[in-house]
Amino acid sequence: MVEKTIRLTGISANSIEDAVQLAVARASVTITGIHSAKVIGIEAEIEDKRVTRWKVTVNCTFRVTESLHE
Amino acid sequence: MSAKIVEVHPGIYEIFLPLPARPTIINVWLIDCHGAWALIDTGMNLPDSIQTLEQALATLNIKVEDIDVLFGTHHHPDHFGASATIQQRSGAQVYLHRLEQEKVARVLSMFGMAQRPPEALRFFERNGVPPHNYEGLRPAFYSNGAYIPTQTPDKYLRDGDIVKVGERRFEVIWTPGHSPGHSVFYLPDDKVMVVGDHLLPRITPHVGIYPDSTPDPLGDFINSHLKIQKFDVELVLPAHGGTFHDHRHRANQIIEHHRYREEEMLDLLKHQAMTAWEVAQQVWGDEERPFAQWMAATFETLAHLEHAYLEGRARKFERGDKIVFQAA
Repeated sequence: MVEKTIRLTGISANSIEDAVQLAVARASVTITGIHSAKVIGIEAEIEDKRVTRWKVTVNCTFRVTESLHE
Repeated sequence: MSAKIVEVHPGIYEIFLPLPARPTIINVWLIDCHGAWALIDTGMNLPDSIQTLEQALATLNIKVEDIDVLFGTHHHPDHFGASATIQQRSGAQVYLHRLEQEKVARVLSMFGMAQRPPEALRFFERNGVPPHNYEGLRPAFYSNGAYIPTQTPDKYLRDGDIVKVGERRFEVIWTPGHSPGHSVFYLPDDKVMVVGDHLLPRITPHVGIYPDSTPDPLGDFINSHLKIQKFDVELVLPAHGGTFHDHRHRANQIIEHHRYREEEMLDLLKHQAMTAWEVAQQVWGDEERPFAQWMAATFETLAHLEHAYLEGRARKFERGDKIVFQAA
């Protein structure tokens, strides 16, 4: 069995969790079977002394599946 | 443009016709029905396109006049713009969904209007579109002859109909979303599906809400993708981009794309309410765009927000004279 990992940064106006969710949702447009997202970096964008956006970098991992030609 | 025609399946030909703007090519489909010829979609009614079609047909020793049946997937100019010309020259039986015929009539009624109807201007304003010289945005096809659709189709396409042409059978599948009467054609004996703009391999078609739209075009579009997955298909023939095989895979990608887009919009609306225009600025604001593109982005945003509202995931209320949405 082989797994593949890709690195993405999700950006949310609300929370770290939402940023992770957005990254996973976007990756799921073209990848099926993502089973884990390891948070490897968090950055908060600040405007006027307030956090405006959370930028969370994750390693999304999915299993590489084999296709059989019938 | 020189003729480009490819036989993608025995007796089924892809003809590449030029378009004046992106996407720059539309694929129309010529089908040898053994004793009759069917054409699915027409390209625009521009000399370059008609000439390219003629040249392509000539490679098979046939002419526009030999077309017996013309199917329209939907009313848009690149798909149905030359339908009157082809109908007149060939006497072909023209098939179109009734809802698309209503759209044809609506588009044609706007050709002669000096300005947008008041309800359209009010609709733009209510959804946050700033005042603009909309008359400068009139599409070229309003006046350059590119859109001469037939106003008298011979038959209306209905979901589930099986149209027999020569020895071929075409099953009509109503796939509303990109357009309310959009239909795709399934050839069960060949396991081929001609999908128009419903299922494109590289891009996603525009799904928007306009003053005359049904309440939930995005919901319709997603349901149409679930619907086509029930068919056994080995070859997919799209209007833009190359042919492909796995219709279910691509349909799922498109559904996931819209799911993600809705999540992205609701994320922006968790703690503040915004108009569709404001949301579109956030989602597509990564580059400079012409105003017409911002309008299209706004109406596609509105399709997502209304869908979220109908799902119970968003609230909708008035702020001053504007309609705003907020995550539920």
